[in-house]
Amino acid sequence: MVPSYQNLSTIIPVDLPLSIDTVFHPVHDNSTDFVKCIPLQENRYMVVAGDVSGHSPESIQVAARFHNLIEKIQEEGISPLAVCKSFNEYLATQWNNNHEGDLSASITSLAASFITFDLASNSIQLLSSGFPSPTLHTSHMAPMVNLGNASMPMGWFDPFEPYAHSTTFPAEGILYLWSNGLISHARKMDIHPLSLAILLLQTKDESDTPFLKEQPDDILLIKISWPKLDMKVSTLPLFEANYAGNTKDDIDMFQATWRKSIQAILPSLHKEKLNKILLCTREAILNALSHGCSLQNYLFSSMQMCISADMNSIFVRIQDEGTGFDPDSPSLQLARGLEDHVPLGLIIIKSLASWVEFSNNGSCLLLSFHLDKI
Amino acid sequence: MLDYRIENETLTISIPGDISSTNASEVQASIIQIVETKNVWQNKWNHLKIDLTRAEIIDSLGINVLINVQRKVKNRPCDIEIVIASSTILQLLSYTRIDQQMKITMLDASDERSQYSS
Repeated sequence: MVPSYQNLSTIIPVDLPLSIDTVFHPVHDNSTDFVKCIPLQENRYMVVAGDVSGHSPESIQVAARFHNLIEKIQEEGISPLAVCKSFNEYLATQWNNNHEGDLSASITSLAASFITFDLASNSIQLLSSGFPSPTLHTSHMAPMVNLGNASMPMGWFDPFEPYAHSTTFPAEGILYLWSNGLISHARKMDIHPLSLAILLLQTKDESDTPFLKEQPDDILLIKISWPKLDMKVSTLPLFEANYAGNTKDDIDMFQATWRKSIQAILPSLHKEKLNKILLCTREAILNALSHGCSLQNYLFSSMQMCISADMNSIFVRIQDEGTGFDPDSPSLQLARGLEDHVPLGLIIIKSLASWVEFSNNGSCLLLSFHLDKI
Repeated sequence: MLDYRIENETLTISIPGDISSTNASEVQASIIQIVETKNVWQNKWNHLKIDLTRAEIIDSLGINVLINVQRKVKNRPCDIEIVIASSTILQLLSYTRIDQQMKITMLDASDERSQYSS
């Protein structure tokens, strides 16, 4: 049986053009969470992350068998798709069928994500089987990209198709990959997984991590960033969400999660500065939902929050699916008196944010807040 | 119903927290209901104080509540004072020129009263 702490394989070649940070907080002795980095031919590198359901000795057996299969990607050039299909067939038809008839036996499944960084073709290729979607962040001015989509883990049904996706390899970026345990704990803390990811990386070398008290499951986090040396991505993603146009009445709940997500990584942030960020974001989202999305459930407003790498600025980007408006319209200037029916939301934003920029005909708003000044 | 009291010719209405899009209608209706209550309206007061010291955030609809309350008491000879404890709210009331229509009093950290007026 492979001891759990050796399941986390982080063999990272020294000359890799990517930086890979991993954080692992197991709850169970028999954790099967793992991550491997596999250099392939022709300037390609593959990162594989996975998690077997359960923490029994049988789960360890399944994980060990999968590790052996992964070795063949490098040794024999077998594709990740062939690995997934072969292993799924084994798990679904042989392993799980051995327990057929025993209604108390749970199905053993394996969730995995294969991410190939292809420097030759300038692409990132994802093959996912039930693992949480990786998030790609390039800058605070661009939307974050969820690379994955819902997919089934291996072992449920045969045949099955894992989810495949390819995207251009940006000049600089951060890609986050995490296990379901991180998502569960973020939910428990009522913060975004991105915020928990920053917190985990900040406390990586600390032995005392009170925020992990009573974590429900093993937590595995992988942060892949590039380029390795110069021009490091200057912002870290902290929060991202899509809000349907008809969810205006849930704004207090949204705001509470923003507050907790920011406070988790900036516990000493002055209350007044925090309130400015929350109020501006609230006003911007309400505007987006009411006007950009016309309160319709089929239109969405996306929001993302980033923090500068030096933790001195927070950026908020809000985009809606509306046709936009003229932010320089005279009606949006300062109220000349209480009789003027001017949209106060934008006036509030302009008065409290450090910097405001509209783009896409006014349907995209970018705010920044300097944290060193109240 | 919001807490209120009348003393020294001042009607003070205390708001228990933030005024925002999700409670603005309710807060506005409560303030107006208090002001229009017969024994309140007929009472001798010429100063309306809205205590917002427990508020940390007032959004655009919250600002509209203050504007609408000011319009409601226009027919009564009284001035309005907003008491706050948040510098963010102070900045907001200044930028939206509410401070030119109503007296704003900011309670500082040591709880000493400090007067702010334009």
